[in-house]
Amino acid sequence: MSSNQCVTLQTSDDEQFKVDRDVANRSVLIRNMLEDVGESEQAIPLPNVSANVLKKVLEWCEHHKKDPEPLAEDLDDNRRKTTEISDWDAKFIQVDQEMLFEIILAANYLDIKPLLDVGCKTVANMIKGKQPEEIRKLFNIVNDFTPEEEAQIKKENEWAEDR
Amino acid sequence: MPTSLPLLLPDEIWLDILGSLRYMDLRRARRINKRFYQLVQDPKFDLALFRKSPVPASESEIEYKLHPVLDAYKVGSGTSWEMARLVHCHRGLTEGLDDPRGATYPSSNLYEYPVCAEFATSPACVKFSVKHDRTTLADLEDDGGVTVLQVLHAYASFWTALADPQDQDEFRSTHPWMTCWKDEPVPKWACLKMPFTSWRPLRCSGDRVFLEASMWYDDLADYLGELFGLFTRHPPNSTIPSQDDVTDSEKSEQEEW
Repeated sequence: MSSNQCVTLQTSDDEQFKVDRDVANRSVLIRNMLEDVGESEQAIPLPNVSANVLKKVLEWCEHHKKDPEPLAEDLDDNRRKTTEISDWDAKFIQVDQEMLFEIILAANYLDIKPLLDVGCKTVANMIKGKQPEEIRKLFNIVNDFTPEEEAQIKKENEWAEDR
Repeated sequence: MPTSLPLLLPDEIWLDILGSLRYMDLRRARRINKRFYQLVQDPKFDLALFRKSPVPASESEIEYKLHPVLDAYKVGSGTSWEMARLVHCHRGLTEGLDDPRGATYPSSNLYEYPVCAEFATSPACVKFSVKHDRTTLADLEDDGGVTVLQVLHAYASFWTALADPQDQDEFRSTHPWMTCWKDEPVPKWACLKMPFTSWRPLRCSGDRVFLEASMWYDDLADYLGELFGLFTRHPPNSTIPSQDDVTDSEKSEQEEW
């Protein structure tokens, strides 16, 4: 493999990954960097991504390297319409909660919209149909409403609860 | 308490996640904590939460959605007792009205729920009509957008009005055990003879949005229509028959039923 087809990525914990340019190009951040820098032997530093997360992200990029680029204007619409996740992606995203949110943060940082989308839909599916208390428990979120505020919001929600 | 990784996500990602949720889930999400409450205030959720103001009718491709509160009152079988329940929730209109069956009704007053202040449709519409069989139950107009409450009030006013004298007589003769109405005027809801199964999808004609009850024979017609591709019911019809106009045809259909 010639060097111009390969890219080296360096993680926050100083691990290096050598990947196909096709694969790395799934990340708009990396693609733009490569376009700015031109051909370079230097490793691209990714200070916000650790090795175990990048490994997982690259697995996704590898599988999706031949996907057509989504059109910018389609992106928002399509994302609204479907909450479906392809079988492969669904299996891919079956990870523990920590990894799921790490992937989302990495996809956001690396600017990989379709992967970010898979992550967001997965979290949305976790929330669906759950009561506020269950969601707090699930995501380890502290209820910071005063009892009065909570009573008020609960009242605003009357009827819309338990349905 | 360990930090919550989900809370590390920036707002724009959470807005994205919440963006695929619907009404009920969004309402519940508001209660998680202050940050989520703020997130759900974002105008991006106006459509999903029925707080989107009316849009100009010239935008002809508007797809209207019915508020879940109203949708819930497709009331399954759509019998007169379901109507009674809805009407009964309106305390002001039902004072002194006892359920002859002794059923218990919700103690809270649906009409006072804050959700009822939301728009009846999303986006809001300026003109809204509710039709049951061929009778217009409600004909509402509000430049600020028709609300759920306005629609519920219109329902209740319609069904608590007194039935036609001959319907009242018929009701008394067919329901001799309902002693409470032996000497009292019988309201329309008690005389409801045409149960309905659900609401049809909202229909738009000009700047008016129509909510039409789906009658048992509609379902049959739809079924046959699908089977044979014969016809479609509900031709575009911009004139709304007044109640008097329909009494005869309604009656003949009721007799068939």
